[in-house]
Amino acid sequence: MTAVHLSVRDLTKRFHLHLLGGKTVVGFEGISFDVAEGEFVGLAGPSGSGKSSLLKAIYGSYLVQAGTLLYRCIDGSIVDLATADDETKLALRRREIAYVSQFLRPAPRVKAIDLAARPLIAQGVDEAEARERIATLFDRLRLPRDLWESYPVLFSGGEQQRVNLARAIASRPRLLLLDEPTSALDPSLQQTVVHLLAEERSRGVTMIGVMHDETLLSRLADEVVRLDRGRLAQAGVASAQWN
Amino acid sequence: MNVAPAGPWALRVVGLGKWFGPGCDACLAETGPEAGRSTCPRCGTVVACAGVSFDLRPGGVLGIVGESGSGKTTVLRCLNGDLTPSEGIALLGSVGGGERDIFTVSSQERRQIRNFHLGMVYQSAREGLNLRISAGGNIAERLLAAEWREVAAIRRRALTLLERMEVPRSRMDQPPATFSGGMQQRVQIAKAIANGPSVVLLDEMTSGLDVSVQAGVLDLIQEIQRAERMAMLVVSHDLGVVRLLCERTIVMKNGRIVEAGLTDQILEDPQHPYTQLLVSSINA
Ligand SMILES: Nc1ncnc2c1ncn2[C@@H]1O[C@H](COP(=O)(O)OP(=O)(O)OP(=O)(O)O)[C@@H](O)[C@H]1O
Ligand SMILES: [Mg+2]
Ligand SMILES: [Zn+2]
Repeated sequence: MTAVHLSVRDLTKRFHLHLLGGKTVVGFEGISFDVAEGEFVGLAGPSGSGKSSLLKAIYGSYLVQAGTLLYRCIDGSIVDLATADDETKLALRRREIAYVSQFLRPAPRVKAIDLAARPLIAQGVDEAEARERIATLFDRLRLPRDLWESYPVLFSGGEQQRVNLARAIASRPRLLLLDEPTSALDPSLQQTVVHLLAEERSRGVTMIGVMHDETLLSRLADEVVRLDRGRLAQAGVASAQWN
Repeated sequence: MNVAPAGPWALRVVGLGKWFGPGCDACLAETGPEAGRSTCPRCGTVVACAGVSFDLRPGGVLGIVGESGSGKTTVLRCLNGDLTPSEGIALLGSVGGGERDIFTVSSQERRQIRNFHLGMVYQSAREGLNLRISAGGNIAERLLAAEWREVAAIRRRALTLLERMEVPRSRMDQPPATFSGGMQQRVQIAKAIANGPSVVLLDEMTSGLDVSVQAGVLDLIQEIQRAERMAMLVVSHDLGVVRLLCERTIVMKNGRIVEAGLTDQILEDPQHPYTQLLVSSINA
């Protein structure tokens, strides 16, 4: 029996748009599912169904109106991410939870390798080792070496995406949130990323991922949670065998 | 040299208020974001800020954003001792075990706090620097105030700091009056951090600069913040600046905090009508 890593219960997100006369938009409503330690849960559903919103709510970029997000920390304590204070969320982001968004918003004058190494250095890893770990991942993701010391603001979408992935994976999170991590990549790089994520998973990293390519998703996911217009359409369908 | 803070926060501010004018019973009710004004219509008192409370963790970077006149600078000036607050408490983790209200200490102790524990970067270099004495001299002045006595050590420290802020060695003995705006701000930053403060207060430090120069200054400040692990309070009306520098952000309007949260949450899921307006105007 593996322990539950994250338990999502009756989670509801609504946006109150004050500039549009107080109009309310539903991000998602009444979502419940569990994610076991070391499991890959895929999020699927049509565009606008609430997948990205759900990931952002787990990461803390979106505030929810109802429900709980019970998260088991490395020391076994349980934190409700839905109501945790900012410092708790920041501490978890530094140590346990990483998020790969589709787009990187890079600082203007920071080199790719330094940008990716920052979370590691913040964790206390020494600079040489941090750069070493990033270099290994950059090679693995076939990011051309002449880009390593260049500025990601100038990179293509696919290049930025690889910097983003390396940054998140290198920090060795316990929970990795992935929003379309392969969308800007060509098929051969997509395979590389799938292999890399599969390795992380076999190392015990828990992942929740949105991928609109269902073939890729089924190769990674132990379970798929399906959303439709912000509601749970189907959950807990085992869609892949591992190994 | 760094003054290590004792508490879980480097700075704690509770109920800070500052008003200009006689004040009356209606001042607080008649001003603020709902009223949409900072001046009391009954007595003419300006409530520059009221009820401002927040914690800043050691090594953390907190942003304060809001329109001009919302009270951001007043908060910084009260903390730095440039203004005397009307009410409230401020604790520094590095002073008196975090139990001493720095607003009520003697003026002599206030000076000590300013010389050893705080650093401030002003919007205008003219306020933060003596433009007529050399760049190195400006830093030396700050170090002398922090009781550095050895000339060689002072010179070494000034040189190291200026080099880290990418001010060429050849400019060290020249007065900042002859420098570009970006370089003046970099000298100001070097001066503000020279004494190894636990908290640095930065007021619109890049707002007068070209975008490309801005990027350079922001990058350097970020680098040095990481290296020295100082806590920073960054005031800006530019959400791009806080996005880059700050992990948490406070939004102010008409002297009050209307919203506080993780910076990405403030930018991606703003709750207060005013924050939604602020965010929509930069994303547009
Ligand atoms: N910051 C926001 N403010 C207001 N409404 C939002 C915000 N973010 C998302 N929404 C709304 O919430 C709903 C869910 O959006 P979300 O981005 O989560 O969908 P998604 O499933 O990730 O879609 P896609 O597959 O197109 O990426 C949509 O109606 C969207 O317009
Ligand atoms: Mg999406
Ligand atoms: Zn009044």
